[in-house]
Amino acid sequence: MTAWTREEAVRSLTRRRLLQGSAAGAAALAAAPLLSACGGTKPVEKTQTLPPDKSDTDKVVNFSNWSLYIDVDDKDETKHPSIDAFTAKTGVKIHYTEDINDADALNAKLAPTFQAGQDTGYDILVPTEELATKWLRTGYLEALDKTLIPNVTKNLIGSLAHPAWDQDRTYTVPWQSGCTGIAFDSKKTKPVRTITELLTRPDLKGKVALIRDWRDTVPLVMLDMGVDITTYTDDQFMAAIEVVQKAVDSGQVRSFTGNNYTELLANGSVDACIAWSGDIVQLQLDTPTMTYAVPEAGQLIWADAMVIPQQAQHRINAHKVMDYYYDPKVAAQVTAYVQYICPVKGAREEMAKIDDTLVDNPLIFPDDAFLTTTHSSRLIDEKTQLTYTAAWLKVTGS
Amino acid sequence: MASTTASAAQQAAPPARTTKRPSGPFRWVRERIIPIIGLLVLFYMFLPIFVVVVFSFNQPNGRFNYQWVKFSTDAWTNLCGVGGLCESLQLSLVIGLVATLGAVALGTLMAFGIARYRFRGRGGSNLLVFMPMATPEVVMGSSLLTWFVLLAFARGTTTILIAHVMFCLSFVVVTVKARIAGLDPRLEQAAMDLYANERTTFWRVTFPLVLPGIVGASLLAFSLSFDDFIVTNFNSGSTVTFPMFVWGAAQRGTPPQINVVGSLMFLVSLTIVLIAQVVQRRRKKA
Repeated sequence: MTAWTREEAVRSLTRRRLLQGSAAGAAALAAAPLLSACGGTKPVEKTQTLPPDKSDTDKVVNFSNWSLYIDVDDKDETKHPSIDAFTAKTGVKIHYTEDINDADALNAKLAPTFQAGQDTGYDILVPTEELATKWLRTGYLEALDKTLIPNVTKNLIGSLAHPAWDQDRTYTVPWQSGCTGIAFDSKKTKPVRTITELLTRPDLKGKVALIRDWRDTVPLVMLDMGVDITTYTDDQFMAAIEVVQKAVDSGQVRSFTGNNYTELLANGSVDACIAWSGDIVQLQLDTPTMTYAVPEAGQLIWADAMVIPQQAQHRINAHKVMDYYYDPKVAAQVTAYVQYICPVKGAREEMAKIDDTLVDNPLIFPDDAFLTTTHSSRLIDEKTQLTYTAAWLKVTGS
Repeated sequence: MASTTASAAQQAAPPARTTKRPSGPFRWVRERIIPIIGLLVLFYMFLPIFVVVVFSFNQPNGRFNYQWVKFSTDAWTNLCGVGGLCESLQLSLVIGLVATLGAVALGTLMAFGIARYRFRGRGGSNLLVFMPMATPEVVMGSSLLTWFVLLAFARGTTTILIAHVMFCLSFVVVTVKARIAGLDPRLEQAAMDLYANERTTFWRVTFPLVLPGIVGASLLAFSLSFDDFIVTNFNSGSTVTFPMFVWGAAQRGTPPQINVVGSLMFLVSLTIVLIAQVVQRRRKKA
């Protein structure tokens, strides 16, 4: 409401005044790009030395995560039992902030600090894969010391151990993960088994939503076309886009969405869509007929990962936290609340001891059969990424 | 004046009616068409708010609040039940109040300066005051952040406050200045004629006349500060304000408590408007 008022106010009050353009205004406008350029484009000095690690003297670690992404106490939701237990065990206090709310916004917020070579004030951040890749490439992340995180090496599930963009997990450790596949309400529609069905079946016409980010939608289409997504070519990518374009032209696709597809699916605006597994687990609680289906050609697996940003002050403590959350018992505790796919081996067995209602859900504790259906895409360079994004934007019409 | 035109219209009306007089339900509708359209528009505008209020009484099983499950007042009685919500709400209220005070204090003085005095750079300041209003928020937020990083100034509540005072300032200056410009200078002259000195004139005549402008500006500044997301998000460091909390929570699900806060904000502003109406009516009668 106020945003609108503000825009209106600006339009009615200031445009004319601004256009009259006094000399001072023109000067100020001309100075603006200069000002922003100062902090902006300085290249990173890779030779920058790391600051001394304060972990021993300053027993804290600044851990920044997404909202509602960690276990909470049933009685007092401001308390996080796993964090309190860590402090009790190690004497290191976790400054846990839930201040990540959007990958692009996080990047925009931290970029100037990164570029200036300054400490972000964080010791652990949890970016999405795409953002982690970007940071890794630009040299904003500190390499991990594997000797300090034996639990991670031992317990990380195989499907996530060697992603194309960080082959040996030298910089990133998955926090929670999820799969991208098909969702539908089995009360309203027959099972949708493949992406081809989703994009062409007549009874779904106009009732299909696809995810707006091509990194989710296009690889699924390529899998469906029989392409190996760890090695796909430009032509195969464009052919997949063509398939989506056809579905759009035929009126099959109602919309391209971000997170809000859950709402469309819940209120019946769409009958079937591409979806993230974790969301469907939540929707099932209110609508038991909501179904997540692994496409016959396979699904995608991804993970939001913990990273240590450049110049972090408490690196050893950060490693301790990472290792701690790969103790299957702790992992089970977190996953019991978050209910995304748990990336830690052995957590399922630990979970069975606490509460066995969740253990049989492969969307939370995936079994081997489920994991063999998962794929992840090859790494592409930034130029290709721009080409792909441009081609994709034509399809989504945005 | 209004009454004379009304009676003139009444006198003019009868001859038209005798020639063409719609009857039955059409006439009923025709006579009330404007209120009916008005009500429909109001209904359309209030429908989303109504949904927000209704769903604040929902008790979903999962983390999404899309489907009606069952009636419950849990979210209302247990507002702080969602970790981080109350902290962020409190922070936003405090920031809103402090930023409003800062912006109103500075902005009112600036408005007087610009409206009342001729000085070198007046045109320039007048224009610069509009800049934050005309600048897209993304540009403003990112350039402020660049500036803070350049100064190695730690981001947090202080930087949020600085940013909010900055963009609220423009709105305060514009609102208060308009009020000052509309003042009749003869009122002040009259006060001076009656032997009031400058100070007394200001506090007894000028200030009370400008006060509605200042109050309006404060309300505007508060609501701008309270719901700002973009500029705040850039400059917040690791602090989380209420709009940031809501956006972040929406990535995993939307607890009904968020609807409760929305409903409360609506109720509070509605109450304020109603009180203002009542006060105004009483004044008119008096």
